[in-house]
Amino acid sequence: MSVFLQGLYEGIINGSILALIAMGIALVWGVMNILSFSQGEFLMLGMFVSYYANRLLGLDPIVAMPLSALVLFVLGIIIYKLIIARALRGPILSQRLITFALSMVLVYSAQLFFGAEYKTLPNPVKFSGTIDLGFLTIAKQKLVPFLLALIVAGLLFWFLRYTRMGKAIQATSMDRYAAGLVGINPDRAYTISFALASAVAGAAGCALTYYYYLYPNVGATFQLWGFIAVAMGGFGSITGAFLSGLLMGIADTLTGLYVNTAIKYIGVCVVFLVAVSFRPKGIFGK
Amino acid sequence: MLKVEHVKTGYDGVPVVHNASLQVEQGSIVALVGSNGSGKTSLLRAVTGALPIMRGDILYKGQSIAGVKSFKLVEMGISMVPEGRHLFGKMSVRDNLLMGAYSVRDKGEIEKRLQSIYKLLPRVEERQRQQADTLSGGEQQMVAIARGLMSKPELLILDEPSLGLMPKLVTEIFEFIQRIKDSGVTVIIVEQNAVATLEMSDYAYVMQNGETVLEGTGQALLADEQVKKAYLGG
Repeated sequence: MSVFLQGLYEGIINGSILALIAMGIALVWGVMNILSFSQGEFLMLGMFVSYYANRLLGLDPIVAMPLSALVLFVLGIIIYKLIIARALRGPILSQRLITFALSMVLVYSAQLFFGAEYKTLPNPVKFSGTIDLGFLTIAKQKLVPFLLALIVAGLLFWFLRYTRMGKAIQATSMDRYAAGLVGINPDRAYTISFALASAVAGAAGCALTYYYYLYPNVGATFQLWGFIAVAMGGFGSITGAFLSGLLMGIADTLTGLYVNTAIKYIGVCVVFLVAVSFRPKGIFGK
Repeated sequence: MLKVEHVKTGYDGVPVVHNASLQVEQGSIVALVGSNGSGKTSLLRAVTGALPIMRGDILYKGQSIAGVKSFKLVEMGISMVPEGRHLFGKMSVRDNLLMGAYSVRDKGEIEKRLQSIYKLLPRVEERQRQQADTLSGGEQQMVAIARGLMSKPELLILDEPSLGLMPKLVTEIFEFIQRIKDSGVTVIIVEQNAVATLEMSDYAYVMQNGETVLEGTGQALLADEQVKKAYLGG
């Protein structure tokens, strides 16, 4: 029982990062019908912010997190204005593939500037240690991604539902033309959504550095699983992305625990296939 | 109030409207009639910033608004209710109306406007909690116009408000538009339903092949032999 609980817990932690990536993808898709292939790279950049904050300033990732979110938010705005906004005026194929190209640019830029070798945080982190509950051992730093995922999900929900800007984003996602007619600047709604998604990935990257190594291509795997989580949750559904991310983490870890770590991804795929067999548009898809 | 001067506009560099001119006086209802594809909607889209002006100019209160984006026009006092209603389908009726007042930040003022809309349209109030895309076509049209009024426009542009509605509702919509005008709002209306529109309007323009070809008071155009023949089935 305790092994199962431990596995479940670890699964939720692993799934939290996927959930964070997936929520960003779902937000961007839901609002502007752009497939954000660069979400994993924003995660990677968040990890590097955390790494340098630790190396140069000795900061814990949890302290560097607001900085990382801010850096990625600003970068998101710049990327939207310079690249995405232009692609949106182009043919549908360039709209679909632009973020894919962007992700390659970001990976190789990171390689150029930060080097290709694997890194971990050079300075010891203060937020560490374990909490022993008897039936469950909790590594403190692994709580960070999970708590972050919960907070981000809550904040996104609140933001979209109750704030003026959030409502404007929702309205724009339903009908861009009508949004303009009621006085919303659709372009600003798009910019904020894109920047928010990248800020979320940046914060997730920070959390991840507590227990994961970083290198320029680290985002690729998370990106792929994040996409699967979005497909399973229902494209555009942030709640769906959040829950599917967690579910995939659990499937991954439990398969590794009870079957064989070599085939743990098969466990995830089986869950995905079962989910979309019964709900072809995803669990929360409409 | 609004002056359209020899405007040419179209899609992707292909002109649809070649030469359209019209003038709208404050406090009047001006109609734009013409057969399908004569360029009425395109002209409206050019006025509200959705289509580029290739030639000519559009003046609002003496100031050029050519190329000004629609969200900015709302703040200037121009509101457009598009053809096909374009409600935010997954939002409640109330939220749709609130979005209409997006440019207003004063909550008390928004609430005041909402109440005055509800007074004007009690049926909309009854439905305020309902999701907009579950309403009937007529109700949706009422909500769309009401949403357009929430920004308290000085100029309200209505594109095909009666499209797809049954005759009884068409009468209702037209009465509603009349009341809007009586409250001091200037109205531009594009309609296929030419007779009812001309009867209601102070002044009207007829469009044909992307040009404004005839103009006159509503009554005068109704009596015009040429108009009768071409548009009124007479």
